[in-house]
Amino acid sequence: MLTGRGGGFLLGIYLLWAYALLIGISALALVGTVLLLWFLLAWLLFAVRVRLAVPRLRLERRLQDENGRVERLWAGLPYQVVLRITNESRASLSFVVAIDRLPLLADAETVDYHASETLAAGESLTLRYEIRPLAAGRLRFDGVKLLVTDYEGFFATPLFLRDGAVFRCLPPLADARGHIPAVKRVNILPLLGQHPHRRPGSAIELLELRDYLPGDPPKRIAWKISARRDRLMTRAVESEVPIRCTLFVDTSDAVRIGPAGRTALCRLIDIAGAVAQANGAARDLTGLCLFDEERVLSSVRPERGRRHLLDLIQILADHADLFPRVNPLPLDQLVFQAYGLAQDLYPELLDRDINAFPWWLPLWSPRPVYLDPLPRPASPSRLARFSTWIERRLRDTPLGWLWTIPRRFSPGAHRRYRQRKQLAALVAVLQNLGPAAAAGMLEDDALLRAVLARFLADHGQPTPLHLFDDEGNYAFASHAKVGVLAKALLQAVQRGKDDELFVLLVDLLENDDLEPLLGAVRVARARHHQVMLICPWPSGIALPVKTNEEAKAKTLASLLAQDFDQKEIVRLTTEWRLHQAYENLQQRLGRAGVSLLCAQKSDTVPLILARMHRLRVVQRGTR
Amino acid sequence: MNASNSPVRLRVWHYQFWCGACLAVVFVAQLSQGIFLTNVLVFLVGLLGIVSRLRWGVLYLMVGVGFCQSVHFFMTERPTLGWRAVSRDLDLHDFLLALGVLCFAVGYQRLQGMWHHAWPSDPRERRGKPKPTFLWMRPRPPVVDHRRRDEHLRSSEIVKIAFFAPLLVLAGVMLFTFVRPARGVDVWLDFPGNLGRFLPPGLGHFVLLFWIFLLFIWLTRHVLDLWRFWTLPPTTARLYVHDQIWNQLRGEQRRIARWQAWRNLQ
Repeated sequence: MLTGRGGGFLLGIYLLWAYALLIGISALALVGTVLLLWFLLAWLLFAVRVRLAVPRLRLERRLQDENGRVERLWAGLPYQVVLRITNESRASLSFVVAIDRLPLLADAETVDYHASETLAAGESLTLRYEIRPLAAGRLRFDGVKLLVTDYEGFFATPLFLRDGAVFRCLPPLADARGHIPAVKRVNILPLLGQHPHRRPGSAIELLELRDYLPGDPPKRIAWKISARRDRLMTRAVESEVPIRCTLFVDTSDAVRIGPAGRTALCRLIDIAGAVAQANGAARDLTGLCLFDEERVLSSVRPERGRRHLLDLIQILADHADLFPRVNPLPLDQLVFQAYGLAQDLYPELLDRDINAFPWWLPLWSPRPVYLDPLPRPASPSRLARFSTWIERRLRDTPLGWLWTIPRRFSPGAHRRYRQRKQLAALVAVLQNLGPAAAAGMLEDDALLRAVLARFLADHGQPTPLHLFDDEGNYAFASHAKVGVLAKALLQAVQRGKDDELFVLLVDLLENDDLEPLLGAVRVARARHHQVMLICPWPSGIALPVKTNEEAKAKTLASLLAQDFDQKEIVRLTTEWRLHQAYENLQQRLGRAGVSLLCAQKSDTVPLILARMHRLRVVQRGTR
Repeated sequence: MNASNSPVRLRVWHYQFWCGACLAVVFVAQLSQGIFLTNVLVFLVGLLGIVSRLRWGVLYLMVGVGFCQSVHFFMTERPTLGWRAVSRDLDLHDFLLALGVLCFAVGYQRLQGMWHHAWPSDPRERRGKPKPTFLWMRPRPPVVDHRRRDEHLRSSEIVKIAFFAPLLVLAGVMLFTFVRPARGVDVWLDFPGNLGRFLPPGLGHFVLLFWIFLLFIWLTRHVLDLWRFWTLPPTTARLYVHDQIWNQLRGEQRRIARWQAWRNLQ
């Protein structure tokens, strides 16, 4: 690729050379000839070096902390990334700038991830920088962007060395506040009978004294009491049963919205991870159920132990960085974003020699109008229906040809068609869709949208979302998840042995139909189980507090009446709407005996643990 | 071995000194032709470029040399050789002049990569503290310039220039001399309708050299393309094959895909 500097220099020497030759100035013509020769040789040398060296560049990435190399990361802790690019060819690259492509979950504000070096044969370039994972999830390092140029800056070519290394980042470690103090602090591990049940067992706390029954172990006989009463009495002691806690984590589209590392899902995963760790420390049993609006994604029965805790945390980390699947974004914007990503990651696959686009194609055969979805009528009025009917009839007739005129001659439409074709061919190859898929994607919007969404999600690239559809409805309400959750809760109740705590980490603020869930909750409560609901709360919105609703509504109305900032009005109305939804949810679930908490509060984890502690006390009293 | 391990550390001022030396060669070469006043002007322009980091200093120098040589040609050579004479034979001072300008251009362009940027600046890539710009425009972080620093320089760079530049000039001299029409032969005069009288005398030489360069570029490009296609990575090769299939069956595939898309839409 000729740079601006190279192009200007070439033009200058060419003009000088042509002038000198045509006029017949020998000295000047020789100068021009020599400079032209040098320029051509520089081009040849650059091209040969790039072709020889690039296929033999090796990339090695290592993440390390103060103790050495790590394979698993913890959110919130600093790590050093060491990247080594080695030139194993015999050709040297004059000047190379390496720019690492950071994962979205890594903190990019305070790092310098550039390095430049002359990469001679057998030499290597090392890049070191620090990252701090923002939240749990998978850190995917796509690779390194290499900018290769010659010493003079006449020629340059961008390359991308693909890496694809994925590091699992686990939720942050629970702090001291999350731990329940052990009964016997001198012990490293708390006793297993920390949570005794008031029923006969094999612990050391006395439950009752009863008459001796044949078969009772002689060591249980209370001899002094027996002597006093003149009949054999047996000591019955409490059982040793730990508390079981099952976490239900919502992974539907509703909680996947937001900037990377700051989604509601990340917050829920953090809470679930902290509770699991705190329970593990208290030797309680923790189960997990991850679900979305379609099905239960992962279900783990309550267990305890280090291996089980690690399994839970890894499952949580694997589901922490999911992207919304529903995306009502206009296709043009999606193509624009995907093309930008492809330019960065696959520059060689967008080369015109490899992935060609005939310039005359939009002129000859643009995409017909009848393949566009018809706009819905804005209102159910007769006039709107009639205009839609007219539009349909006109587009399906030969007059529809007139609609394609802008698509034939507009430069913007030409560019969009080219990007669409190149992207379709690229994605068809990357996703192994076969040679005919590109033609299908060139015509079918829905197919292209699905494929591009997958392409962007595979590379961990979030897309801007439209939260509301054309009719003003919230696009991510995910009503079906209530049924999935209710079914999962009932199954957990069926499997339950003792009193358990079910923690539902679910976003239900936008859901009105809660009957299936309330039914399942009633069943759980009837079996003496406890149920808690942790609701994700958007950042930047004030937490719900009990205030006078009428006063709040009046304040909002007065603000709306004034000439107020539009953003402020939107923020206030959103806040008001969410507070209303929260209070409604609190009332409905409160009747069923479910306590509701906000996930945004910093004391969420201690509150859950306190509830577990209360459950132990309650169990002591009830059985 | 990195530059930091090299026994002799090359610095930016070494390149500046190199350019100054080349400028002196240019001055001497032109002085030996009897050019003085304009020669001093060229020297000063070159010096200004070295000192003040001009982005297009090489072009200014070339324009200056062109001006010198033009003045000298029209004042001295043309009256001697005649109106439609083919250019004169090359001399040692021509060799020195070409060598000086070439070495100056190489050194100066490398200095550009150290002073300004080696890789073309990308206005989207900005980093650092936002700086105030013109009037009402909002402050933006400065554009990142990827430039070569002292630690990137290697002493072998200048040695290579010193070794290969005379060879390149020699090759240029040979090419220039071999394709030059013989003295006294004005092929354009045979053009019908006395058209040749209006054509410049060096047109034949120009056309020959032009086609040689063009042929070189065309052949090299094709060889490089062939090489590239032989060594394509598997994914790229598959995309190329898919693209060829799409190109051959474009019409039929388009027709079928449109029917399917239309059916899905209904």
